[in-house]
Amino acid sequence: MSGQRNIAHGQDGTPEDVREVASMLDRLGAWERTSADDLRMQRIAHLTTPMPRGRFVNPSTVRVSSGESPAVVLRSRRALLTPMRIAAAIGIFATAALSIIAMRGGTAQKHQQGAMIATRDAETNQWTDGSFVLEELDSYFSSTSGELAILHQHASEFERAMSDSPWTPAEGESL
Amino acid sequence: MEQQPDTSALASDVIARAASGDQGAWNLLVRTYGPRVFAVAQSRLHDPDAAEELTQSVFATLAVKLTKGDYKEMGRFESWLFRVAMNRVRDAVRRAVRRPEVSNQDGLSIADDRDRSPTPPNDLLALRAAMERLPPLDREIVELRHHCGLSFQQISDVLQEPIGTLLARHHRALRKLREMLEHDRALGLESGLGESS
Repeated sequence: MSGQRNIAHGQDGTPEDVREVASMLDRLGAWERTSADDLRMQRIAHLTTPMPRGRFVNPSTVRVSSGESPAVVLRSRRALLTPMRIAAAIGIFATAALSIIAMRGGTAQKHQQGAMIATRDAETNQWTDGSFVLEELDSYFSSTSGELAILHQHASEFERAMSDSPWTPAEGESL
Repeated sequence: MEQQPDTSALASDVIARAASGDQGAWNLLVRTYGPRVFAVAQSRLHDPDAAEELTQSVFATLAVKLTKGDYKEMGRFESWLFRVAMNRVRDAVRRAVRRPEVSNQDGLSIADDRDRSPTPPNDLLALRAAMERLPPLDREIVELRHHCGLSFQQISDVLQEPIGTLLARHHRALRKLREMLEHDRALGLESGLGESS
């Protein structure tokens, strides 16, 4: 059996006695890829494009109007359950004049919504980092219209925070 | 997504451009490798949305590592990528075992939300079920080979196992799968084995 293989043609020198099951496995592999459609790949590419360190470029956002609860907006938009999926869902929506990134931080074990937030000043177009809890977003958006974004350069940090703490919203948790 | 992907390895300059934030190069990279990462995730999770999430997390990790310069180009990008992917798959499987059922605040069960993917044809469904019964390493070898399209050299790089061992285990795994399908067929379950030609 050769070490090299052309997946498109399946010419792999598979031993005769397992050729048929190998062919079925190739078909199964192709079948498993059928849901990896262009929309999903575009969404992934959009959410994960590398950016130079320290810069916030092209965040994925969802608009929140003044007086709206960002948590309610997020919940109304999301079709899926976990925060990573919320990130994917948010990624579908438009670009921002003012963007905020919110994600659960390391306080998950205490069932407190930690948030890492970056804001971009609409006048200077500069980004600044900050640390808040998500509840503060409600306060922020009580008098301000803006957009909410998850910046994918934080995705791995976000994922680490999630990995040891399955997302089980605390009682009264709004997001 | 203006460029058409190729299933062969991407040139190192495309990877370098992708790492520097070239959107077109990154799109090409995701479109080339994304479906193959997705396939192994879908094979384990049986949920296209969860598979997308996992695939996204793999590329998010790649983006961070590429940006930080953690990847050194030595012509082994695919092996590096799929090593990240398999680590993520193992984590996801472990989490799924630890968290068989979790409810959200709306009372919806995440477990109920799983396995909502379209169902493969009966013969492939039987094969998929048989794969669940393979030892973990054998299953990974089969998935890396047939779902991700890696060469045995690349699988050797990913799993840190000698090629000879991988060849033998792959052959043995396929024989086991064939026997399981024949056994299931004898019990009246659809396998498709021996019916396709």
